[in-house]
Amino acid sequence: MECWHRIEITESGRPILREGERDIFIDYAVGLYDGKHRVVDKQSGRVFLTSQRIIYVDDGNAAEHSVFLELDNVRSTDYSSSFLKRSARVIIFLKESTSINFQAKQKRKILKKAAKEERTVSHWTCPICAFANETKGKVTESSPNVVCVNCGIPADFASIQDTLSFTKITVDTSQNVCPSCTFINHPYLTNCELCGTRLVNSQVDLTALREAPSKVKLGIDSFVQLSFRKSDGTLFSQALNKLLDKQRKQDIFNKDVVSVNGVAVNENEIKRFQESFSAGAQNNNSIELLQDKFGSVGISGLERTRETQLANNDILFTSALSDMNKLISLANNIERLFNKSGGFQSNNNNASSVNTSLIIDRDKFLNKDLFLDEIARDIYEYSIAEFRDSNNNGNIMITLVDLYAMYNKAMRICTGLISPEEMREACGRFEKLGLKELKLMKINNRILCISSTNSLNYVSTQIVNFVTKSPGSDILKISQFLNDDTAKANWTVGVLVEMLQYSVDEGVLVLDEQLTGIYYYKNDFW
Amino acid sequence: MTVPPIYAFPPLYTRQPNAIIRNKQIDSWEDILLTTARENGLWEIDTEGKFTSQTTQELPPHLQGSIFSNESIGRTAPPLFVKEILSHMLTKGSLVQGGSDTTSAYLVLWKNMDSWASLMLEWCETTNKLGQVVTLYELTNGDESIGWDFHGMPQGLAARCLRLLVKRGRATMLQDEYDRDIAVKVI
Repeated sequence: MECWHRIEITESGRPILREGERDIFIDYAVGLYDGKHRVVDKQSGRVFLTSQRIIYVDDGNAAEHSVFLELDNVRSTDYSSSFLKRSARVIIFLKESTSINFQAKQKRKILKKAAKEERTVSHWTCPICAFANETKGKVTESSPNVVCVNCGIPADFASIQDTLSFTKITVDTSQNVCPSCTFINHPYLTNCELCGTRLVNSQVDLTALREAPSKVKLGIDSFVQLSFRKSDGTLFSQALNKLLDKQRKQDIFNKDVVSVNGVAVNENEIKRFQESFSAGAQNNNSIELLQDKFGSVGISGLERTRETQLANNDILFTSALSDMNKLISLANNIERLFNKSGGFQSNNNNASSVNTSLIIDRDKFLNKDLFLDEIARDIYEYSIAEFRDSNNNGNIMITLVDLYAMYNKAMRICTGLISPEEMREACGRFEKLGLKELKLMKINNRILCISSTNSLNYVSTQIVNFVTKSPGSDILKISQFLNDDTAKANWTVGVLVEMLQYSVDEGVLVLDEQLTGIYYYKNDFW
Repeated sequence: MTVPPIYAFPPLYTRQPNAIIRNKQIDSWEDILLTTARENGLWEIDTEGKFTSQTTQELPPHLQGSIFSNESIGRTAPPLFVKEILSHMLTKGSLVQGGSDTTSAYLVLWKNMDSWASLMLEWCETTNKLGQVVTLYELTNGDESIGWDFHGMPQGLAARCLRLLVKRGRATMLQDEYDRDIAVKVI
């Protein structure tokens, strides 16, 4: 449990990302396992995969039960498909360093004493381009080939031996310097204040933020599991692996080079080569076995053939069983897919034939429903953030048309633009998602608006007050009054038009229609 | 005569989109029209809302043009709206078709026909004209009717009112050689 840290959640139930952090994938109905035990209060939630973290947001109590896991702490991942009643899982093995956080408190004392850490830097000259290189650590004969920064050619120890020299550099670790932008951060920050890079020298005791002490002790082989209740989790697992791979390779020099001077350099290439080699070796092996079969005589020979046969059978059976597992999971998936599509057809018999206008190709989401939920949360958040500080009394009101334009201009979800229908549907979901502050309402039976609960009365009284004060105002004057510097409001003209229409329909205001425009008066006479 | 304050209220000259408000607005117009007619002793109005005077006396300056336009605030009610107001008054009975000279003019009834008829009957009773022949001119322009509301009433309208008395059996109309009503005898 120590590897999970508490995370702040916005009102609409989305995690607050760090600067420079992007979300990559979202999965739904996920439960958390710590080792082999389920975590009691985190069994149903959404999981966000971001460029830096894995974030779990609880469905029930998002504010308190949501946690995140740093990707830096992940050593490797594994995937196990669903089998019978067991749902699909992604197993995440953690690095030891996570458990070191345990003793962070004790360590911090030591750190403070040895705040000035000494590091050795080796200087050597490239034998080819004569560039003066610097390498961290001591370069010895046993250390792997160092690569010249200038020409990129690995130099062997013998040729640089003459130019080698070492210097010791003292690094002040108490200063918490950002590795990428060299900004000196506060020692307790975990991420750089300026660029968001994770800080190596951070002294913060991350575990101090943990919410509940866990009985499970994290050993070296500690792992956590994500259990996917609805989806099969493969997409999530793939995305995670891809991300981890990318992170590991990020700092490798010449990472995309396949071979240098005909010698394979790339890790993958080497692996592939080795595999092909070992495959060849195996083939040889089987040939040998065959030869064995015929070549051996007597009881011992028969026994040996029997043994090898048994071993072969064993291998065959295990592979067959694993094949069957895969087959069952496939069948399950197909069945689920069939049920889903069948249900969909029966539900939307009449609508589906008409509503084929837009197909969601956002691969982050499993189906349109989930996508709309996410969009709804996003729109909610966006409109609150956009209008909360601009309106003095926290009243929000905006026509859907305006909101659509603004939202798509801002384009906050990296999936791109959304369609008007999607926006409308998403806005209709606020109530379902427990987002209470805003709702979709129809003004004058024709215009859809997103508004907070009492904003309608608020705006109309504002308008009527102003018109009473200065009769014969046109919409321009009203809008100027409502949006002037002192009021700091931000009512769009679209909303004002509707509100004026509303007031006229109510009989509070009357019009004076002239060639120059429509002027509004308080209804004093009728 | 005083102009009601609503006459200077610019929205009065715009047809209000809200039906309830509009009905009240039309009522306001009717009120203005009738009050103006009563206070100025005017009886006829044309389709554009211009009062026509039977007497030689000059109309007050604000009634020179149409009543539906207010020069001082620069507002004029659109012709369609004027038509709507007038037709509303016609159905209510406060206007009747048929002026003296043109067919397009209306007669303004700031009291309804029955009231006029009763008032004329009352005049006959108070001036001892029962059983006598009274010419319509005498009734509407004679010295004896000065001070009565129907003084100055067009003779055509007076004849119409008196016909109600004929119906009640209280009067007999007398015609000239062209079959025009010319005198009445109230019994």
